[in-house]
Amino acid sequence: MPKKLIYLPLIPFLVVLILFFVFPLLTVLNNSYLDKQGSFTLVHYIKFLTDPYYLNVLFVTFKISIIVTVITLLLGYAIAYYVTKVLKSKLAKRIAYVVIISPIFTSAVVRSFGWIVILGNNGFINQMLLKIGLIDQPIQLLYNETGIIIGLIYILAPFMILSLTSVLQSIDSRLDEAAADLGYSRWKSFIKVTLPLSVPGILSGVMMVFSLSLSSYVTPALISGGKIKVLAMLIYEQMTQLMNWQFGGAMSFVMLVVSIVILMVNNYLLKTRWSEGGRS
Amino acid sequence: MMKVMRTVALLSMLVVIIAGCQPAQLKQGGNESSSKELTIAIFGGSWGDAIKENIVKPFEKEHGVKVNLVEGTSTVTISKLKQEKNSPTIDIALMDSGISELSFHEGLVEVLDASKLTNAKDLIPLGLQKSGDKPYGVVLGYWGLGIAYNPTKVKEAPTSWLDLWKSEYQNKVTIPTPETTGGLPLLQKMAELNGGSTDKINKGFEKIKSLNTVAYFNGSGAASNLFQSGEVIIGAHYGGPVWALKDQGVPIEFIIPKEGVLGAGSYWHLVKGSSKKELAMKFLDKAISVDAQKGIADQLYLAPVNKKVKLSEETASKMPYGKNGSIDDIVFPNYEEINKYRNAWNDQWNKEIGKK
Repeated sequence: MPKKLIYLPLIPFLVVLILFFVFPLLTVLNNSYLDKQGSFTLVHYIKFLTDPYYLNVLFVTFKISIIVTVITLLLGYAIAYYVTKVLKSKLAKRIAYVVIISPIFTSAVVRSFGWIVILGNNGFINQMLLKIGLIDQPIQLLYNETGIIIGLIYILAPFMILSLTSVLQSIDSRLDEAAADLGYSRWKSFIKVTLPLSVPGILSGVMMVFSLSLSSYVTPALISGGKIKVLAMLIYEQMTQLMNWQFGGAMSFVMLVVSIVILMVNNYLLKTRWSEGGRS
Repeated sequence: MMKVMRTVALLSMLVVIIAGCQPAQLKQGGNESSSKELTIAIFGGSWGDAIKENIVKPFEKEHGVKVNLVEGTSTVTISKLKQEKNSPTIDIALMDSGISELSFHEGLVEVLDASKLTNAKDLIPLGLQKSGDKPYGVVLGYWGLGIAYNPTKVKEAPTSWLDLWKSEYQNKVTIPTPETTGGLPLLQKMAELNGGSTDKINKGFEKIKSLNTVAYFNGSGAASNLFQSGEVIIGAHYGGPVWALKDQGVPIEFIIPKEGVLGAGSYWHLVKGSSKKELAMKFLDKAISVDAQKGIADQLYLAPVNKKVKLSEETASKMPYGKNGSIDDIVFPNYEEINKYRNAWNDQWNKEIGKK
């Protein structure tokens, strides 16, 4: 088979991608610079980028996504490390994987409702703290940013853990032993050997969790109680409630561009810092 | 060879996918049996179930046709209608007050020939959704936003919308956002009660801002949840869902504030450009028949519009106009007027209230 033909099997995927991903995206983008009569205008972008309210929503959305990503990474790394490096028995590992993956099998709606039951003023956590006497007024865990962050961490953690375990698993444990032989402490060998080698897993996990939390709609919509808006909710509102597809399109596009920039910066920083550091 | 086979397999899969994505009408292409199918957009949940049981299934039996159901809220349905404006795949669409008027304004639904509806003669004057004297929808039923409260926690039954502002209910109260049908009418009402009006809507925002809610609700499901979990002990809610909660044993009561229930309706519309007008009109006729209207009233506690419906005592006591009232006691907001301000009020709501 000539080399050029290797690309042939790619064509179907390319067609599917163009048809179901690129084309709808272009339709949305196309709307965003048209006015109601269909002529070119930038008013939607100007409206979004000059109104402090929308900029604030954009800021809150990114803030929530970044906090969620950082906490999920720390938590997820600990769990992934434990499952791959500490757990020795095959059965224990298998059980751990099932526990990690199982939340993905339920819909986000059900899981978010679960958090409403747990976090509410009459919910499990507040009732418990009240009974122990740690607090005398229920603390507000729901219908604010904290609630959304807790909900998203729980829903997105499996993505981070899975992407980290797949990388951690493939790191040869003899490298650790070698590092120990050469006088590294366990901690130092983790920093100098394991962590740099797991950068690809961190990258893909961060990318997934960040973009999923940025675009998440269901969890924030259920947990916000109408008191906080994230960008996905504003876009949904413009698209379906107010029929303003033009403005909704502009918001979607701003979100896309800003998140691509953030992911690229993140990618660049992680790749150069850690992997270079590891090699030196 | 394997690679070639794989490519062929993938390509053929793709063809199947693309074929599956074609609009239904293209596929049927003048097929005779297609006239025996009707596509209807309805709501989901308990409403969808009641509609299927009382209207859709009997209709399928009587006319020997197949009804395809598309479930979604009014706003999702109108987006679909807008997207398929030139070649609709939906023949009949169910939409609530506000969105119904919007769909007519946008030219998405047909003006109806009421003389083709055999049950039209039995309807009360409010039985058809009209713009001026042009009917463009038939009524599934009327419902309304009133006050719900938990009688074990609220000692004195509320009588007015303003009772929600009592200090002992702060942080335990809820009201709707503009996303749900009752949201903007309540805002308008609050402006009125606070010395404002539709033109002076700021008075309404001021009033609503001064209410310390635990959460706002964007649909009846969210409201029911707040009451059921005990987060909320008093607040605005729709009548039907409150009675449904009570039927499940939740301690909850529904009252009609002295300023009146804020009424709304759900309406069936014939989608403009539908190729099955005749069959669709028969469905609309079925929807306002005595059986259908009685079934919906019994199950969802919606006020019927067919005069011949005799309600049981139990159902009658759960009507949105109260035990001894009539449909004339419902305060119907002017949704056409509200629609003019929908974007502006929604924007102001987001900026002033939806960010605490």
